[in-house]
Amino acid sequence: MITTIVAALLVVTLAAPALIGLLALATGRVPEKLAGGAAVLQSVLVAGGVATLVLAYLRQDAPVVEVAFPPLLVHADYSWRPTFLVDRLSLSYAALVSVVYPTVVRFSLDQMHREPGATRYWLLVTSFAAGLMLISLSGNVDVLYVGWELVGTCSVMLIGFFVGQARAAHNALRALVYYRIGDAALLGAAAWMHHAFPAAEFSHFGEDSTVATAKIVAAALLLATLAKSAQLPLSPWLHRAMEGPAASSAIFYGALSVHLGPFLLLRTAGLWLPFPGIRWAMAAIGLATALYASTVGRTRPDAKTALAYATMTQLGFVFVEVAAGLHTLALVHVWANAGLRTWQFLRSSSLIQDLQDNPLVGADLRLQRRTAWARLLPAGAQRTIYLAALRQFWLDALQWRFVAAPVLAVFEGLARLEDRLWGPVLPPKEGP
Amino acid sequence: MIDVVLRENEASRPRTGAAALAAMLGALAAAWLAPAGPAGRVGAALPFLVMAVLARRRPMLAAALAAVGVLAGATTEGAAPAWFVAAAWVVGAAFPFHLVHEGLRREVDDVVMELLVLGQPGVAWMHRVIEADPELGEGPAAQLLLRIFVVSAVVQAGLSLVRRSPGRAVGSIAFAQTSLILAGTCSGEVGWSAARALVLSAALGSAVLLAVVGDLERNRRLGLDHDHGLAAVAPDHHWIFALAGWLFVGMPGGIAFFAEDLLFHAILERSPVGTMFFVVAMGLGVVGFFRVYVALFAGPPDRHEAPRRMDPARRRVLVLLLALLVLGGLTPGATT
Repeated sequence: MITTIVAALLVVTLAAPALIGLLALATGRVPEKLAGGAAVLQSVLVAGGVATLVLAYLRQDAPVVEVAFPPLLVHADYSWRPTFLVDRLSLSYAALVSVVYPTVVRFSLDQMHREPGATRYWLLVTSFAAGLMLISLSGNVDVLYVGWELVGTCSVMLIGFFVGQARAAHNALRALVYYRIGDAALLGAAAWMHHAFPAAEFSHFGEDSTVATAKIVAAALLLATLAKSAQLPLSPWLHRAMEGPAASSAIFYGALSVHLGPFLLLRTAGLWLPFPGIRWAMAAIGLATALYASTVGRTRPDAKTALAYATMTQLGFVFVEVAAGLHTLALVHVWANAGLRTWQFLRSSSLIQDLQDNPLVGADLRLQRRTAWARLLPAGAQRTIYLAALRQFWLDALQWRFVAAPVLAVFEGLARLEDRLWGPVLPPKEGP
Repeated sequence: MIDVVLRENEASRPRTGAAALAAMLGALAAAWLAPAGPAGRVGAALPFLVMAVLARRRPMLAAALAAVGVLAGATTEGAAPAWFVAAAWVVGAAFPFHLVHEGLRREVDDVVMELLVLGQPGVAWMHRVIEADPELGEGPAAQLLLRIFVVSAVVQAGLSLVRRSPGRAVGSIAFAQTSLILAGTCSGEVGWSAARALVLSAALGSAVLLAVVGDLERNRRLGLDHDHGLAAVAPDHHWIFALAGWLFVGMPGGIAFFAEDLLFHAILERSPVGTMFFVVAMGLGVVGFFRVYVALFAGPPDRHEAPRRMDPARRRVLVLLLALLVLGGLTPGATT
């Protein structure tokens, strides 16, 4: 029964982007109504499918149900087998997706109506939903990686959705760089799991933690989550990601994509829990990010960026909770944060009107009192911290200057080697 | 400024004649199809000798290409491991011997470079040598070559971040994939299966991307030093380039995804260090592609730029190639 529901859910989730993509390939023009309708249908079926899956799970006794399908690829001792896991964690996240995604789809129907590129938006959002369901229900790192890549690609394309604005596209490029760092770490971890672990399925991670190199894999997984959840030092991309439509900002950076970091950590907890070093690192990173983001967030001049930093702050605390072994609390925190941020991001475009019309919104702005820090710190220190926070503690600039620029300089030097050998791109002019 | 430079550079390169293109095609076909023995040696050497003739205006470059051809023809089964490593390094155009290809790029037009990417003479040569002498593909020589090729892949992928024209940037990513393919040929049966699939993906993907770039550059060359905003005026080109590009660099849904996953495992069995470079090369390739995408399509369009639709026949061909990329991705067992 559960196998059938999982299979149906996956078919339904993948069908919508496949349909829009195929129509776009075949005809070059997909009507906005058709694409939007496919997304609506997908969201409804996902919600219904997840609800059915939850009921089916509750009606049986096993705490974990593993669903394995025939391998898609087999070569010698390598096989790519789609394996899915139905347990409390996967259903919690899938349920979150089934609540947030239809909400955002409904919102998007109005926001994206007659917007240039609306069909492109629907293709990306439906693909994103497919990626999320794959991640939520993944039973091994192979399936999770497929969903992870899909989510990352859609995220980058949606950051640069307003392609006519150069800044949006360049911010998308920056976000892609951070995503690729995380993806590389996840890919490395995935490959090592296949290479060294007796079994690469998540359900076997408890035994796998005794493997000699398990700690390195755990560290790689932690690195992968830092990028996805915008934790230090891989956080500068998040405020740049606010360029996209409000709905995509809500679903990606408020609710679902950004919480995939804690999800991955919870899913692989059996592997890293025995290593105190990894847990301390996780907690330290989370706490540092919370402090950093809460300080920087106070200096942001626009609603969406302020919300991005607020999300980052809460995620930092979630990382601390996960590291401390408070996994149920972490899940509840994820749900609460995702719900709140979805609402806030979707309302962000109407903030000015809300401040005027809605007595609840902006109440803390109108009743602002001096914080405890403001009372404790001298004015000079407050000013210094404020100025540093305004510049995001130079994190972006430092990473560009000391990491990205030297790497590019190396390749520029290699490119100049070609010019020295064969002449410049512009050869010497010939003629009279 | 860079557009002017590129236009002048293009004007200085002679257009390759039909006879020369036919010779190139024939040489590439011979490289893949010629059996072992003397015909195999000729088939291995022929593509490079044809390129040497095409590059005759630059004697040093022509001599280098002829030397590569002789080396390729002189190396088949029974070669000493050291000779095999040296020959593979040169014939596979691994760093720094990729400079020979860069010299050729300055001398011939884009069609010849595209044929090279599609024909992969280095891969053909490598596979035939290892197939004739499987021990070469298992020993320390293969291990060393694997590392050389993955480092070369990183170099090529990194160069895609600094190239100043879209064709060259895409070409660099394609050459990075060629290096990974060559690493796969040194990684046993699993590696060769992955490499074969990646050859298909690289050929299809780069054909689509370079065709789109070529169509966009029909009237003027496009530099990557500023944004051209072509998404608004060339929507067909926009979405075909975006979709093909993501599939080309390994997004799930295309052949490259499973091919690279399989290749990754094959290389990991032989060299964990090589695997790290593999991952870096993949990451840089993705960023390189997106950089080209942003430069071509992002930003406000030039107000003098007229809207253009892709020629329907061209569009049909490119969509067919895209469909093959996706179909291969959905049936990985058939393509690997």
